[in-house]
Amino acid sequence: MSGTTKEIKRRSMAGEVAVRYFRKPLAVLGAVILAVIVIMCLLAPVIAPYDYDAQDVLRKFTEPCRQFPCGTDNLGRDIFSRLLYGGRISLMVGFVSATVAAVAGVVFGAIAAFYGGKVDNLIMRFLDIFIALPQMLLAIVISTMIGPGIQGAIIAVTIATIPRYAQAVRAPILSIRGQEFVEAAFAIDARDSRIILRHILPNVLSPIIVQVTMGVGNAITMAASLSFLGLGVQPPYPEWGQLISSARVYILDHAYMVTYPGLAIAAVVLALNLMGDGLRDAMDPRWKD
Amino acid sequence: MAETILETKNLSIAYVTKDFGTCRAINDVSFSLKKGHTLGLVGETGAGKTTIAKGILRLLSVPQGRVTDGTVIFEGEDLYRKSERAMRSIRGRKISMIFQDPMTSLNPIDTVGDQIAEVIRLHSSISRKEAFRRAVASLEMVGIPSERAGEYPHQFSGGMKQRVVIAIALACSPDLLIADEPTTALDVTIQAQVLDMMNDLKQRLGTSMILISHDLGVVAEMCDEVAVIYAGEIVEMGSARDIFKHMAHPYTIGMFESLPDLNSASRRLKLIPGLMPDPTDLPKGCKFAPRCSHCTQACTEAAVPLTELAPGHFCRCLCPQQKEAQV
Amino acid sequence: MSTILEVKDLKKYFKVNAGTLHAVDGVNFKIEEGQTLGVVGESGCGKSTLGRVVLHLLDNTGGQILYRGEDITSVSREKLSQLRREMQIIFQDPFASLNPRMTVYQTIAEPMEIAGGCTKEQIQRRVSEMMDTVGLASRFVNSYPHELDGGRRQRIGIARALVLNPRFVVCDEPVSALDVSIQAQVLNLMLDIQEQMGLTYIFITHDLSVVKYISDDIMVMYLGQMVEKAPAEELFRHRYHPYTHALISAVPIPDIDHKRQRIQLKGELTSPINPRPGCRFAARCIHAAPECFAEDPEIQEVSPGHFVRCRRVRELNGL
Repeated sequence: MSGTTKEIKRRSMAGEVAVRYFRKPLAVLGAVILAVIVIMCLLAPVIAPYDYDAQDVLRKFTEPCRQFPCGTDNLGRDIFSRLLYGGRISLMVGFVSATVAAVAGVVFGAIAAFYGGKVDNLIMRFLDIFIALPQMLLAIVISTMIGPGIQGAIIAVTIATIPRYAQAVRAPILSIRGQEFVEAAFAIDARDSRIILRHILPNVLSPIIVQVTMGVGNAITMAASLSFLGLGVQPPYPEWGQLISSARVYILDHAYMVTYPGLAIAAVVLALNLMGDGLRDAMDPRWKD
Repeated sequence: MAETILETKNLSIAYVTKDFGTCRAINDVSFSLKKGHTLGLVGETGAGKTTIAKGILRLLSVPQGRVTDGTVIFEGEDLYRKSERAMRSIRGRKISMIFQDPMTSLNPIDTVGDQIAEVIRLHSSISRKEAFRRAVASLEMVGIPSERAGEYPHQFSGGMKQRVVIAIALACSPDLLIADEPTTALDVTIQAQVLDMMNDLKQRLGTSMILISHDLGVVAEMCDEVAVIYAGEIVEMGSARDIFKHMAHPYTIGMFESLPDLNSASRRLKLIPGLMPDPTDLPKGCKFAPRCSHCTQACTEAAVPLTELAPGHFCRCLCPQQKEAQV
Repeated sequence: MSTILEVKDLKKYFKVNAGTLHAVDGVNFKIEEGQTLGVVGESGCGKSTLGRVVLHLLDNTGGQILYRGEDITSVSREKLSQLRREMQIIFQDPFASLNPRMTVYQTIAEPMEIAGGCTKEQIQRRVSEMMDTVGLASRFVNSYPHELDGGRRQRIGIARALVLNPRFVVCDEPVSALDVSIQAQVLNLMLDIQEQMGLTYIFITHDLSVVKYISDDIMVMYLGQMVEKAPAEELFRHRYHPYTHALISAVPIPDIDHKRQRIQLKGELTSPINPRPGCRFAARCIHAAPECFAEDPEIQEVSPGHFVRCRRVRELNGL
């Protein structure tokens, strides 16, 4: 493109991405849904009508009505309030595991891709062992070894997902590694660490961010599955998977006890997927001008 | 006097985008091409040469690209009045185009023989066997041995790939060939071989050609007429001799002066300061005025029309410099 | 004038599936301080590899590199750091050679940050100076590469290479990706800077008119070897090696009265993998004799400073 720089529309890179992102209705929808859910869960102490473990045996098995928007469970606890408090746990487990796993995965993948050769082989073959197992299975095994609880759930999900992040990040890094500006960085005597941190990683940020966004949804589902199986988060903590698990036996008569937690998980995962898609489109093609 | 095979009349094409506004890619481009002749479109990146080529073949990307004025007459018929179906039978058959990068012009999963045969079959109802036979003949015509018809593009070098591309373009003996920088991506000795071959074919088949290039050496070798394109307009046009020996427009002169010359030893190149204007923000008067050392007040006020300096030699300038080329 | 760089029998081989690729195979040259050595050849001749080996961006497989008389063929990390301040490179692709996430300022400042020992003000002043030197308007200081055109991007690359005041610069096809009028601007700039700063250039290109314009000496490469080396004028006047002759006569001249000779080369490039003994150009040479295929030709100095790698050079040119 020839010609002088058009001064009028100068935005930062993040600004450009934001503008493009908000042009897509689905992406905006995803962001809105997630925002609503996150805010509601954060404000749980303020907006929840009841405590998450406030029992009232007389109210047990109430159908959804105005007083209890999602009904009550077998111990008379308000499911809506439990959803709100439980959301804080589910969301936290999801975001924390995804973030930590992404960071660790990026470190592995970056070192493997940057140094290549034997280092690459060593790291990737080691991670391949884990990738060969289904993620969920791995999480279950780790959870069993560590023991139940929120911390256990986070650790299990994190470790189980690290290898895939490493693998996903390796290909973009390899292609950046071959670019001339990386060679230029060597030529100006930059140390390896500087090249990785300053030159390579900022340029693979887009695929990583997209991966992480989708990964949070995946992590939430995995944590929920762990709780469902009785590992991970234990009662009375109202983590969403835990809610579904304890409601299992009542599904025939009181389906709402399972439906609402399920819908909550589905909504968050859907929102994150829409956001991930939107971010990918907003960040991707035009940078390679 | 050879008849005219192609004529563009006041062709203007714009690209409309949300982010960058309206980009007036080409404005008021009018030229004619005689049968059997080669017209060179010379200019730099972004001048609009490829847009003209795509405009002729109606290959502009819709909805952004649109013709805002003018039309294209080919063999007496208005191409912009034809249906898309009619255009499809013209492309490849009567008018062929060669794109710049041979590395990406070929389908990597088809053999070269099949790719040529495909074009032949698209435009005639002959048997597969017959089409393949003609395809092999095409390959030999461009200097590729017939045994290689069953090979895949990745098995050929850059120069050979470009020959295949030329074979595909010429497979149906089109009346007009549009070649967009056909040898730019090639090494200089390979380029020489390919140019020799193209000249031979032109003589043999009598194909008319529009050659787009930024390389004045290639244009000098191949073209009978030349049009110099700047910021979407023709700034000078005439026979090759007019342009190379009696250049008049300051941009044309500047272009020649900024070429490092194999035959002389100068110590500094004379250069044209500045850059071509942004097509979304073109100046009101002469598009070259901001960079022109002979610019006057009148040049910046209104658009400058093409004037005929000598029979067939046109120049879009209010004060053309009659510069004789240094021999 | 002293010899700033000397290269003796430099080799770079790559191991590939099919065998060993001789990218650079026994190249010799000397460059005096302040001069420009043009390295010209077509794809696959090894010129870019040569540039990178000299700068230690690629390891060499054999031979010697002498910088200011000192053997730098293999160096420690500390010595390499030192050398990197004096020996720099300008790349071909003005977009690919700049980090898309760094502004003009950051790109030019980075060598100083790495070298250390400069205050923020010193860095800012120097960046400003460099932008001036290469003709980049100061309003672009916070621009990103994708906002600028090819010519401006290349100026950033030049500024980055020169910011620490190197003595020696490898220019790898620095104007090939630019339009003709921008090419002229950048070439003139490089010549001006060379004069100002007393730089020595290795100028790698495939464009013969550019190499003639900018070089004092020219080395023609073919399949990893030097086939001819001479002062620029001399090379064009007497193109003794058949490949040089074919190369120069293949260039289309922008003059309609010039009739280019028909190209006199047979076939295509032979493979640089596991090359056989004998002249590497023989398979394409119209003057090839049986002995050309049998043994590697020696380099002969046919006139002072004019070297040719061809057995038959004297008889073919009546010398």
